[in-house]
Amino acid sequence: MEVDTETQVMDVTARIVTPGSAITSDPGFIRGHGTFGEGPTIYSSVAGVIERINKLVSVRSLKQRYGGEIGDIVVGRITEVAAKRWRVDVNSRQDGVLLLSSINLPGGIQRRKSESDELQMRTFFSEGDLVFAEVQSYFADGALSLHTRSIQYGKLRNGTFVAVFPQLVPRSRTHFHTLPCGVDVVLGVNGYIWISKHVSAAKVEANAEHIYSDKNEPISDEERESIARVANCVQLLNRLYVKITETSIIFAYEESLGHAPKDLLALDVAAELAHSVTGRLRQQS
Amino acid sequence: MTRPDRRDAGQIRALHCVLGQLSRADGSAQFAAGDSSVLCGVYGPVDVRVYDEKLDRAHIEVKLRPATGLPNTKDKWTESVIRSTFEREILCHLHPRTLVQINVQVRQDDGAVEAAAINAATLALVDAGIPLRTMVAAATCAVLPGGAIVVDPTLEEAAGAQSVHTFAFGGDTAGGPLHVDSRGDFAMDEYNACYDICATTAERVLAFMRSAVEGKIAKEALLVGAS
Repeated sequence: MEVDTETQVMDVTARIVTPGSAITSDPGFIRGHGTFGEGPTIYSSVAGVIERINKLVSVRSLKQRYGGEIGDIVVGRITEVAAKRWRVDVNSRQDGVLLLSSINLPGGIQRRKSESDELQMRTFFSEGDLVFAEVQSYFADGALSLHTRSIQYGKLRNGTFVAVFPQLVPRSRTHFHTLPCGVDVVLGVNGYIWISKHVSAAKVEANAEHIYSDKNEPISDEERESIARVANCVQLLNRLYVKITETSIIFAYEESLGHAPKDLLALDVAAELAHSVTGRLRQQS
Repeated sequence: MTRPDRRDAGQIRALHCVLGQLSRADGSAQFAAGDSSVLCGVYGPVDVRVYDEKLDRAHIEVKLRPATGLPNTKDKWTESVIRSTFEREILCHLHPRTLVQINVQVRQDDGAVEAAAINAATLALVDAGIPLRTMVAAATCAVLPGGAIVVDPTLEEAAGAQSVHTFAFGGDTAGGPLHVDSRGDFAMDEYNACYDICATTAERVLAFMRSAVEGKIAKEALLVGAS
């Protein structure tokens, strides 16, 4: 598939459009996202850069709500408990849906869902809980259907939440990382990030009965400081539009050790650290 | 006839806009014409209340707050004007069962605030990446006692005018106005003259808004491309 190499060229001014601008009347083109057709002409519906791949013309706007694709790993917050399902805020255009049939029941053994499970849905997830899930499919109206059918997914505990621009979290093979400083990071592709105390996988499996517990582990002061430092590093990467990956967080953490965690929130310190992080990332690649 | 601020009859006040000021809104824009300034924040498409949800399109909600005091009937009217204008221009069918909420705050009112609100809403919707059929620009004309027609009236001029006309146009001004609001006593030839002046003014406002948006994209495309 030929990809238009013009997208690498720095001069994008020739291909910037605003809503209502005509892109082409050539019948050989198919219109994609960000465009609409009236008669033979393709018009742009958003403000952005034209992208052309073979015959497909689309316009990519800079800001967009997270759309969601099947297989995406997301972090969401339960907003509502409904009949046999939960509604989850995943930073998208509609709340995602987590069906009762899509979660693992405590105990680790497979058992049929009973009526009492339906009536006790709040013992699993209740409003305000954070859940780590994968997008399974779409509903007919475009809402995302989530599932947590794996031991690594489920309720999130022992940490703090940071929201970033979804565009800054690239899709990769794993979204659950353990940083060298003893902090676990969950990078949701929807821009929601969870930073928590490291709990070993063995301990998680041993606790199969308590996967829906709301009780945190005891967290020491040093662990709290590491978590706060990582959270502020993620905030500064977000502020200065640096892609948020395991590597960039580790670099930012290392560069930040000379400052107190709260100083990382000051714009001048943040800009300086982001600059050194992008430098190291460029060197590495 | 000299205007209080010594402008020509056909001269609009200096236009100024800022895009993306609000960090928590999906899109935001501040639009000012002289001393009239409006800030607009747009959320959407987001989840909608079951009461408002439409199965085949997005639900548009507009909230307008005046510079001082509580919203009154005139502000509710302006809300409905903005809603009906943008309900046609936003491609609602692309986002069924969602809500697009347009929040407008009048920061300073020195006349022609409805037009400024429509312009700010356009820029905020574009900033949020919500698909639009066209950008909408609005302009205001006042017919003064004696028949003189002035464009972009200040609050003082509008208060003393015989009639005030606000027009909103899309990208293709020849296609007709998207919104018309006329108040006061006027003759059809006065109305037609105001229509022509506002159409020309709206084209200039559109060009201004387009260049502001394109400038922002050019700057940010380089920033994102570099990281």
